[in-house]
Amino acid sequence: MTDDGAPDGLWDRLDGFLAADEASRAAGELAQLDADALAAGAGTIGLTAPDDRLVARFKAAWCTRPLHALEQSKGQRGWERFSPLELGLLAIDIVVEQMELSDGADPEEVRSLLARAAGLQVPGAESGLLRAVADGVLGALLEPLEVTYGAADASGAYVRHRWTDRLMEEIETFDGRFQLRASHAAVNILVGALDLDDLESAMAATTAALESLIKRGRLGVAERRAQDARRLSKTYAEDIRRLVAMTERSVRSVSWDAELRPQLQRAYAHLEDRVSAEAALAHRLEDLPHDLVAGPQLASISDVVQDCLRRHRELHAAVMSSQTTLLDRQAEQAFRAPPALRLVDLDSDVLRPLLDRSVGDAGRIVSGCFAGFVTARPPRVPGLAALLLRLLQPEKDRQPARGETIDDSLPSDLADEVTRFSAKTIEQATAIMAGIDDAPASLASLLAQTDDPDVGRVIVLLAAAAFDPELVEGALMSVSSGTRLTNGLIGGDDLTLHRLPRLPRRERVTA
Amino acid sequence: MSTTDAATLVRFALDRRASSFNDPEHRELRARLGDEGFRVEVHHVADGLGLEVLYAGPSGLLLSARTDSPFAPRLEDYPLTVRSAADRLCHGLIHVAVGALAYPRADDLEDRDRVIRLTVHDVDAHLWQMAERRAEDHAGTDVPVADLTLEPAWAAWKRQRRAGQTQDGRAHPRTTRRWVEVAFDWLVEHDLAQRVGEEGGGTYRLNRAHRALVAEVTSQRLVEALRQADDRVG
Repeated sequence: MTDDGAPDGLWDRLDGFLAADEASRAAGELAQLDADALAAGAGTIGLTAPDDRLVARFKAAWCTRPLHALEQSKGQRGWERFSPLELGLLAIDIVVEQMELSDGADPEEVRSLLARAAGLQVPGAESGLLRAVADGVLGALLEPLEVTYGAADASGAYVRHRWTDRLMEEIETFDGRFQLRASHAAVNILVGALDLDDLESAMAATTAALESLIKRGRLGVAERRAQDARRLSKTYAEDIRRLVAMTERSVRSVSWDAELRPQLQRAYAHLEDRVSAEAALAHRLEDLPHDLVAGPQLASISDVVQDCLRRHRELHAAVMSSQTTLLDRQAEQAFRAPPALRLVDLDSDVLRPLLDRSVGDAGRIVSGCFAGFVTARPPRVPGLAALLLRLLQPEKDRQPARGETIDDSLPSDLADEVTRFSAKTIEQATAIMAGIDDAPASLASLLAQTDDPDVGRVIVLLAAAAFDPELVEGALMSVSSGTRLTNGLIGGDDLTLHRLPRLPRRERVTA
Repeated sequence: MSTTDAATLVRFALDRRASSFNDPEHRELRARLGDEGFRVEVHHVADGLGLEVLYAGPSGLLLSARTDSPFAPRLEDYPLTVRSAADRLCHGLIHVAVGALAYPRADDLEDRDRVIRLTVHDVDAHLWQMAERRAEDHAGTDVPVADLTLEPAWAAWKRQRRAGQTQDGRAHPRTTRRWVEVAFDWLVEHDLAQRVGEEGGGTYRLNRAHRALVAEVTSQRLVEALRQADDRVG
C-alpha cells in the first residue's frame, strides 16, 4: 500500500487512464453504438427475427447512459472543467481491481481516490467540490439502469421487454462492513464481453491470444491482454459469487434443480478448463529465458496469470462446496415443515391497497403494525436522573429565530392573575417561594410561612402553574404529594415543589 | 446455567450499546449459537418475552417484538406528535413506502447482500406521486366530508403540507418531507439505517437488518392486517 492508502500500482493505472486509454476508447465505441441503436428507432431491435446479439449490444450501449447523463448535465452542476465520464470509468476500474470473491472495494477509499483523480483534472479546485464530483460519479454508478426495449420474437412479432440492471452496487458483508462491487454490465464497458457465454469464451480466447503473443515475442501487447484477462476473471468471479449466493438462498424458493444445477455444472467445467490452461501457461512462462529486456514484462504477465489461476482455483472450490452444501441443505429440509413465509410484493400488495382504503381503516392497519417497523427495544421507563435530563432537553424545533429572545417571565395568563395583587404581596410570596431553591418543599409548609391570605393566594397560583410548567431548566415543578391540604385557603391535594436545576453553562468554543 | 446464558444473550440484543464486537462475553455467547440446544433455549427465552429472533448477525441477535410484548415500540414513543387519525396514517404510510421503495418486489427482499440507498426526497416524492395518480383516477368523485375517517388514505395524504417554512424562516415541522426525515432518523436510532449524505434532503443507507425485518415481520404483518380487514368487510 502507498502512504495515502491506495493499493500499489493503482496510481500508475490512474495516470494511464487520464491520458485517455483503451477504456475510454471502448466507451466511445459504445457511445457510437448507443447512437446507432437509438437512430435505428429508439430501442427497436431485430425487426423481423430474434437477434440476441443485438439485444445484448443494446443493453451494453444503455449501460453507459448514467455516465453520459452526468457528462451532459455537468454544466448545470458547475462541473464544466471536470470529466465525469472518465471518472466513472476509473471508478469501475478501481472497484474491479479490488474485487475478490469475498470482498469488494471500500466505498470511502474509492470516493477519496475519485476525489484525487478529479483534482488531477482541475488542479486547485476546492476539496469540497472534488468530493461533490466524486459523490456525483459514484451516485450515477449506483443508480439502477432501467429501459424498455422491443425485439422480434420467434414468430417475428414485435414484443416489448423490460430490463433492469446496475453498474455498481453496494453490499453489506457478513461482518457489517459496506463494500462496492462492479456488476457484469460495468466490466462490459471496460472489456466488451456481453454475457456469461461471451465471458467464458472471451476468457478462453484471451488465454489463447496471450499464449500466441508470448510465443511470437510480442510482449507489450501480451501485457495489455493479460490485464484484460484479469478483468474478465474478476467479472466471472462476481457472476459465480452471485450464483453461489443464489444457490444458498434457493433452498427456500427457486427450484434449483431446473435452474441452478445446470449453471453450477457449467461453471464447474469451465473453471476446470481455465485452471488447467492457466497452469500450463504459467509453466511455459517460467521456462522462457528472462533476459534484461523481456524479463520485467514476462514477470508482470506471469503475475497476472498466477493471480487468475489462484482466483479460478478458489472459485472452483467455491462452486464445488456450493453443490455439496445444497445437497446437505436439501436433506435437512426433508425433516422440516416447509416455512410458511411467502415474501410479499410490498409496492403492489401493500402500499397501493393501503392508499385506496379509508383513513380510519388504513390508519388502524398501519398503527396495528407499528411494532413491526423497527426492532425490539426495552420499554422507556427512565430512572429519575434520566427523566430529568430528558425533560430538560430543549425541544428540537424550538430554537429561537434570529432576533427572538426567550421570554423568561411568567406565562401571560398567569401574569394577569398575579398582577391583580399588590407589588408588596408578590414580593413577599416570591421571597417565600425562593426557599425552594435550596430544597424541595410542600405547599402546606410554604403556606404556613405567611398569615396574609393574599400572599397565600399568590403562592397557590405559582404552585398550581408549576403543576404543568414548560419544563426548562431552572423552572419550578410541582407534583402531588398524595396528602390533602388542611389549610382553609384552598382545598385539594398538597403539592411538593421543586426547582429544576440549572445546567452548568458550557463554554462556547469559537473556531 | 444455560437458561441464564440464553437470557443474557437476549439482554445483549435489547441493549443497542452491546455489540458482540467489543464484548468478549457477548462474543462467546454469540458463538455458542452453533449448539442446537443453546439455540432452542434462546428461542424459548425470547418467546417468553414476546420476542422473535430474526437472525443472528455478527454483532448479535436481531429481535423483533410481537405486538403484545412490553418490548414492542409504541406509537407514543414515536418522535413526532400524532394529533389525528390522519397523522397516524401518514407516519405509517411513510414507513410502508420506505419498504416498498427499497424492496418493491418479493425478489428484492430475497437479495440479502444488496444495500439500498434512499433519499428523503425519493420517499416523499413516491408517496406524493401515488397519491396524485389516485386523485386523477378518482377525478369527479367527491370525497365524503361528514366523517373524515371515511376519506380515502390518498386524499388524506394530499391534504398534508409538502414542504415549507414557518414565518421566521425555519423549516416547518409539520410537512411530509420533515416527517420522512424523522422516520429515517427513527430507523437510524434502531440501527436499521445510516445517514450517509445530504443529497436529496438526506441520503440513508438501509442495512441487512432492515431488509430482514421488512421481509419477515413488517410486510407479513401488513398483509395479514389487510387480509383481516377484508374479512371484516366481506
